[in-house]
Amino acid sequence: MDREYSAVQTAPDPVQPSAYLHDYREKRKRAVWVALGFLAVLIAVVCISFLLGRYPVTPDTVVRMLWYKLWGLSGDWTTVEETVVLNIRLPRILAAVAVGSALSVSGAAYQGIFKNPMVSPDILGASAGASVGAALALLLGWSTAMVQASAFVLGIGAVALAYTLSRSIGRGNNMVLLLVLCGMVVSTLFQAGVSIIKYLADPDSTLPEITYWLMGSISKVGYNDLAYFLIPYLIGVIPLLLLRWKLNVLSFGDEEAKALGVNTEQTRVICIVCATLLTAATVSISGTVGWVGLMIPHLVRFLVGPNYKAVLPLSLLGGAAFMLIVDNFCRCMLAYEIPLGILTSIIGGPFFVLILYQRKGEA
Amino acid sequence: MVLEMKDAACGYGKHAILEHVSIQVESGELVCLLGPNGVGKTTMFKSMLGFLDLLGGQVLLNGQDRVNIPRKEFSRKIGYVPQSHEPPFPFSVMDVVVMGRTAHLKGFAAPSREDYLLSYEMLDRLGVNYLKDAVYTNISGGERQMVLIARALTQQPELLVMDEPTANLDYGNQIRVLSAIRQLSDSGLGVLMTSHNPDHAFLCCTRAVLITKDKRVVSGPVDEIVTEEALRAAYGVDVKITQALSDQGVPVKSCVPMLA
Repeated sequence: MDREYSAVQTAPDPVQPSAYLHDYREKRKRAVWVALGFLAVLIAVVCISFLLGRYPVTPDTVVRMLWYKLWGLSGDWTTVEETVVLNIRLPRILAAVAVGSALSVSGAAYQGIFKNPMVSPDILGASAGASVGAALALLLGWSTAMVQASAFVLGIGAVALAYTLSRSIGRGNNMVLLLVLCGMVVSTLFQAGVSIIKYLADPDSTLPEITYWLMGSISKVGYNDLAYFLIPYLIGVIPLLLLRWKLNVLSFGDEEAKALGVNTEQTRVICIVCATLLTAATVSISGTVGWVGLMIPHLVRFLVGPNYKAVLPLSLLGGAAFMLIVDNFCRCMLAYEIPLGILTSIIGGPFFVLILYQRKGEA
Repeated sequence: MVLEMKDAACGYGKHAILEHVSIQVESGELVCLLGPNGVGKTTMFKSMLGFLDLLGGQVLLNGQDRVNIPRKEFSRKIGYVPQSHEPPFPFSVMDVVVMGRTAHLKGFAAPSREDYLLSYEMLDRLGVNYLKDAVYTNISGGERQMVLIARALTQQPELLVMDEPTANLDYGNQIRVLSAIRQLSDSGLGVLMTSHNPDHAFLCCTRAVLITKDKRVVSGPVDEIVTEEALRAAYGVDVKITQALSDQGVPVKSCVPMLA
């Protein structure tokens, strides 16, 4: 503490802060246990994911392969095994972890910025913009890399448009509500754009491609895509994790946050930029995958309460684990691949209802 | 510590609602701001705290212009107690109170054990430490007001600015909150609060500021400002001011409205 409490010096009775210390320690312990639990689940799911699939690989082969490869050694496994584990399953596991954690973290952050637990990462039009970008690139027959780049740029562009619009209308009053409304307008416009592109697309070749992309999938994500994804991912996640305490304060509204000493404009812009980077980057490699960004933060709040100090890192772990589980179903449940976006909704919807039941309506 | 508004014009956009406002609050003073609905009390508050830009004049903290004081530093001197409202998430009471430490945290830090202990101490000081395990969205209006006061105290300010601290409270809770405010003031904290009840000025305030219907701002000792004529001019209703004796023999004034 940097100085004595000068104004209220005369405490009438001696205060016993130690009465609270026990509570404080207990709460900390609980948060740590939940975090360890999430981490354990994630690690377990990652391990299982290596073994799931039509081509059987034994656990010790996987362990040996990863270990030897890490040190640049070769071993006695077959080429097929190496392809399955290192070139098919590993990048997909990494993609699921990255996509799930990015969507959950950006969803949780948006919910704090917009003071509303029902907000999802596409609130400002990032998904709609990215969809137009990808659909347009597919229509024009561009390469996969260009499809991703186009989706990313238009995803960011849509949010920038919504932000600029709200600034020019608002001039300082009611910025948050205006921003959400402008986001809705921009989303609607871009969704109409997607429909136009689908209407123009060749129903035999491009249309199925666009439709498949819009349903979301990470089956084709390779190491190159992941390497490019890592840049916006880190630029997005790290500042949000660092600023997470301030998200608590922001969720009480602008004036209270200002009075408590937060530079609200600056903090909000940083958080919006980071969350948008995450969303646009995610959509550009995986297509539109709904529900995760809304549901995982809810699950986490249900377990540890709404303090962002715990909510953000746990959303990261929880989102990663959830997405990996869902993607395993996508590739193993039926003989053919199920689009990721469909399963997150099918599993996510009922799961969300279950959480609401548990909370007895206290959303 | 002196917070001062000097010849200020307050309003939204370019439209000034109040002009030539000059008031000041010092440590240890308890100033009550009275005035009819829509006269600009809230606007003045927002301008004073920097939520709105001034359209003219200055806000000075110890003689230094507020626009030159960083947000964080200002918040270490001036605590704000808003009217309570429902936050979007069910924060625990301790999480809400410890948010008062935000202005004292470095860069990306989160509150430490010491910050939580200080928060508990403030709940204790206000006599509501039983709330420590409660959820903020589940407690009563009076309790929420106490929690918000505790949060402002956790800021360790030298002045408190309170926006209708007794709004939406039942009679008993109004009195409890006022007693708490007076105790804080007695211990050296400066308080500026708004109220819709002139009795509150009589009960606990050292000075009153009255904004009349024609937007004149008058301030001075409560007995000089809150008079039958002034209340008629401000609110347009007839009021008689009476007196009662407290158990210690101290006279306490009170308003009795005359119904038309």
